[in-house]
Amino acid sequence: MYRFTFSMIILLLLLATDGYCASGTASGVSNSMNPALSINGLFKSQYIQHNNSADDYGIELQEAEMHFTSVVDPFWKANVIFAVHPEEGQAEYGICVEEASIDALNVPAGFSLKLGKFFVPFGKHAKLHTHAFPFIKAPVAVESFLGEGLSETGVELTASLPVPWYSDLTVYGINGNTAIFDNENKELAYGAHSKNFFDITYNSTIEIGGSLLSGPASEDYYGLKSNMSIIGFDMTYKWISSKRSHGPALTISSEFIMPDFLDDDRTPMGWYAFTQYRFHHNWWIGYTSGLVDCDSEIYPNAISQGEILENKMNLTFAPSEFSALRAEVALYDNQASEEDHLCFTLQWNFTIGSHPAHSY
Amino acid sequence: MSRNILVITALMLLVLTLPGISTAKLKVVATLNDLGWIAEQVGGDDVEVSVLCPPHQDPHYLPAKPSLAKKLKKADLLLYNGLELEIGWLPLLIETARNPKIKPGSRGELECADALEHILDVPTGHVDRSKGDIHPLGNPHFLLDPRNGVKVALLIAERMSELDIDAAERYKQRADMFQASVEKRLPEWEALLSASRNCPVIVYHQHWEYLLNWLDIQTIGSIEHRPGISPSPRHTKDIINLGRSQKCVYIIAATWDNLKIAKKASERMDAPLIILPGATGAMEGAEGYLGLFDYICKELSRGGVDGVRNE
Repeated sequence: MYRFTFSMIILLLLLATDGYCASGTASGVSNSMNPALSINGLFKSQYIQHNNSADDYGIELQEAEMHFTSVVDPFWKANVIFAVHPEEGQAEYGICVEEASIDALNVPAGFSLKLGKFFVPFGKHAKLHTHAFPFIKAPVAVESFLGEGLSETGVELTASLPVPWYSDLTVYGINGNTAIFDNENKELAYGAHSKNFFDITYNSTIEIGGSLLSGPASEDYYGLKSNMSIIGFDMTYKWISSKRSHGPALTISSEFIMPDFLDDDRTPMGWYAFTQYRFHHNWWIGYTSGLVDCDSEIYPNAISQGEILENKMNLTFAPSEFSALRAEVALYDNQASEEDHLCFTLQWNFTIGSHPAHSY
Repeated sequence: MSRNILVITALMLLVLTLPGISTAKLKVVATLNDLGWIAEQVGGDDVEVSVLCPPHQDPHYLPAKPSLAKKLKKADLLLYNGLELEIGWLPLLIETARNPKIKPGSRGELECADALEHILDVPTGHVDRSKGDIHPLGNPHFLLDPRNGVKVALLIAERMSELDIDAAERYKQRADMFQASVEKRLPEWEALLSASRNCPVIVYHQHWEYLLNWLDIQTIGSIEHRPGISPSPRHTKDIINLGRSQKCVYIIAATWDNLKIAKKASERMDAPLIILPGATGAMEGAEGYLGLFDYICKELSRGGVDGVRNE
């Protein structure tokens, strides 16, 4: 009797276990609610020739970016992006949270609301993740004043304006203790970005944007005023042939960035302009020129100091939407210190998983 | 005096409400021209239809221009093909549009592939991108079988009726009329291509599987070996050899395909290249969904029997 009862218990347990496994995965845990996951990898091999110091060369993982996105519940959608990249001057890698934000799903009247850590919508380039850069490095003008992607914590509200063309206005408030403002200050920084699109023909469009970011000035700058602002203008023209899949396509883009300072004679500023052309199914060619003029006495937080002129040219082979090989030559000329360097870079870029489409 | 003010105020309010009255039509946005055309037939005067992807554009690669998102902002109903045909651009446009009526899962969005009972080319076994930019849910070009167009029309009528109950009967009537007009033409199109039955053909991209399956024409290979990837010289050579050995009767390509490679294969294979409209209105003479099949069947019958090129 004891054996019979024991056998029945074991049998019932086996049946229950079988039923449990059949309703889930092999591990017994459903994966149907997992977020969409993608990884972008960027490797580069670089040779840098300096005019007054020894040459540099090397091969490295430029960045690996992990992107998770999913609807949280009926009210929110989440977006989390981690980036792994080499630490400056070290053999080790660091990981940082580029974005961790939620978007409200039910905001009425065509508004959108974002909370968390996100790329601040300033201009055109600062919102791009590294794998979407048109050239291997960000323009010096963007890097000097905004860093390599201005990822900050705050809240962002976007509304569409009732005008005949497509027009979005975004306003946001972020932590003021960022690299570009005062690291020690607890005050908030505020900003706005206006984005306007016009269809010229079916195949060609023009985008015009304006940006403003204002926050607490760093201590070094207190002598002049306690608050500082950065303004920016951007314009992008695109033409994409619609008659052929992967047919010819042209992009011409330009951006101007200027921190607002009192001293008119020494106002820092920067700009860049680039053009990219798809001349064959898988082949792109690009050229960019840019300048940053930034005096360390005036603007100590800038990453690049002095008057730097950059010129870059690249050739990209993209055999599919998910991988690309890029060869680039870049010349940086620091006119104040008379230092210049020439970079030859090969970059390999891949994407795996379900990566969301990039904005137009 | 106060009466005048009341009258003027009433008139102003009436004028202000007029646009609301005139735009009471159901605003429908279709991703593809074929869907837009079918929606117009089903919706008639009760709907206002606009289309995102123009007929001459490859629907896999539509640039997600914000002006397209603007069209979606006021949509009551979004009709899309589905089976991930629009995956590269539609989610972004929906997000940019910020229109709660058409967000995924709402009654204002309709995946037209839901009308199908049988989906072709559903990949079996292991699926990854070594096979190119494949559609893991199956071949999405089902609108190139007119019988599927009918199923889609009936589904659209059903959804339009849910959203605009007052016009429900009219939607059903128009969908039935559309069904009758397609079914009347089917024997005519099939008869036109009866001589091509079981003939071996090569396609550039697997865009034509539903069309050829309906007409009993046999696809023996595709120039684009893996979807979305340019064919390698080796594969092009292999496909030319295959075409020669199997006596391929013609090659079919869409207007947006890489016609240089298709022409080269056609010359080497000594099989005519037939360039067909991939969607309603993609070529002159292929206007309207029925006109699309008139054009395609006429061109295929000429190419298959007489060996006439339409380049």
